[in-house]
Amino acid sequence: MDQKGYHNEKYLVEQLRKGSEEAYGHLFKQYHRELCNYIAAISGDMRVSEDIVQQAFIKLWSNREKLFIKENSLKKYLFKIAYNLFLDSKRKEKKEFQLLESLKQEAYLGLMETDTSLFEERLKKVEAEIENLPEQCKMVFILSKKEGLKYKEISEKLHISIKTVEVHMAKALKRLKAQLSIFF
Amino acid sequence: MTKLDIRRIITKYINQEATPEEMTILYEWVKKGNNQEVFKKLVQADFLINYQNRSWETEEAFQQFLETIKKKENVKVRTLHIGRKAWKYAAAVVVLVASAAYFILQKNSPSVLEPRLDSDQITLQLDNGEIINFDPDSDATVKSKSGKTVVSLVKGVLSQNDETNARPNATKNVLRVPFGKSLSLTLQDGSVVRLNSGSTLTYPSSFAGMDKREVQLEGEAFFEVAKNPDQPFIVGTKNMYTQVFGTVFNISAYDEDSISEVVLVEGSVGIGATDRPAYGDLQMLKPSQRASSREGSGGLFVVEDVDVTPYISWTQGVLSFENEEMSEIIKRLQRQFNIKIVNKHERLGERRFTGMFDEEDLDRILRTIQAHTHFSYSKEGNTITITEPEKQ
Repeated sequence: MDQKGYHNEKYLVEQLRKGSEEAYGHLFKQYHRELCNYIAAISGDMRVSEDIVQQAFIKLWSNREKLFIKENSLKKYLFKIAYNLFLDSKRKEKKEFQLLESLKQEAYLGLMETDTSLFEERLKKVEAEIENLPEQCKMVFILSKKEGLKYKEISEKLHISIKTVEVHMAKALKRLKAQLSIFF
Repeated sequence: MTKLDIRRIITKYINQEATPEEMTILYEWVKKGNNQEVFKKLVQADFLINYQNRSWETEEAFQQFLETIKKKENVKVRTLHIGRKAWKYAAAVVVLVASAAYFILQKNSPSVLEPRLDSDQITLQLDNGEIINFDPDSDATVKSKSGKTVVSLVKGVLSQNDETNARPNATKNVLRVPFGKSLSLTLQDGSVVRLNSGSTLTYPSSFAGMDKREVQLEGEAFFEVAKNPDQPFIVGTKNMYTQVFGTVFNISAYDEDSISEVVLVEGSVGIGATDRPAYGDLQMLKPSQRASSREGSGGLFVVEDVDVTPYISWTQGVLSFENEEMSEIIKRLQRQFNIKIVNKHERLGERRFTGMFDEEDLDRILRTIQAHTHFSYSKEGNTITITEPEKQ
């Protein structure tokens, strides 16, 4: 697939514009997995992620004739389409909270530039740090992030107040963030 | 506000647990100093914690992608065709002129004679209660029993001739188009109404002698209205009241749908609430605008700019959805194909889809939607049941 120089982004974009099946095949090979992981981390739902990524590729194809991409920003372009589709799929936030949402968006887009192979490395550190969290804090964090429980469910399960859950979650996030400092 | 407090709130916000009060606090806080950066970093940290390097069915996704784009390529030509045709209609509309006259259609008058709905037949109920049945697929000319009305159906277009001595305010006709069919009707003033599946239009045999041309619609219809400024054309529906100033537009107001809408193709219309049709209070529409009203919104309309093509494509035998919820698509498929669809896959109902299809093939439509999302369906008799997919 790669023999024709698809690693040359300019050439790839040109072929995408022409609708070359092979070029789209290359695009899938290159970004599908990464993009699915990315949207899954934001949405917390693997199926939603798969659907959105699929729509993003189709959208890129539909707009192929108008495809003019600055040098080396194809990935960003594709990820942005997907992120916008994700936003569309959620209900519109109240106006006054749009600032918060747009800050969130900036934060996610900022990470888009990062080489995801760097993630791997860091994530091992994060896993280790989760193990180092104080016992109850660790429990709360795992129930929330790995088991997907709501705060209220955690408080009921562990017989602690919601406020305690909130404090544990904030504490865990702060400690883990320190381990991720390379990204900030 | 301590540092811990704000971190607690940000964490809650990221985990979608924040209350509106907390969101307000956060909103005020984030506007100050360097706080935006602090906020963004916590969001990023959370993202990285969530991030997992999974493997995905890339090859399968690519095959689905190829299938989808091939279908899209096939319908593309058709889209352009519709655009041109709609434009031609609009030009034709302006030349038609009807004479001024007086008439008021009895609105909300109880329909004493509820006609039998022969499910495959188009029925026309005349003012005297007589019901004439048509097979929409074959031409026919029918004379009423009284001999005063002659109705003819030629190539899917219905027209009607009443003897002129009939009292105008006494000629009320009810035309019903069953599910799975559609039909065009030429009104006495030359206006053409194309009725979509499962729709009913109530109209007078003649507009002569009336100060407005008024018809009632339940369902969906595409109007090409003959221009006559002296005799406004009015379409009444359950929620909306549309006054027309010589124009082409589409109205959708099915009883079962929660939204009524008017889409203007060409010309000018004004919209009001049915229960208070105050003339001065009409909301005017421009071409390529859509006015919609939710049931119980108290006569409030949302007006937005739209691409009209998907709204009028049904008149060309094309079924088109533009970012439409699956639950609405199901209603339309039921009408179009005269079939019952039971959706047991709740989440699917909220998903939105965009696409264009030839109306003939329901299977292909469902299979295409399946290419975007996972569900199973089975057909038994006249009922299709949609279910969540079996675990893969």
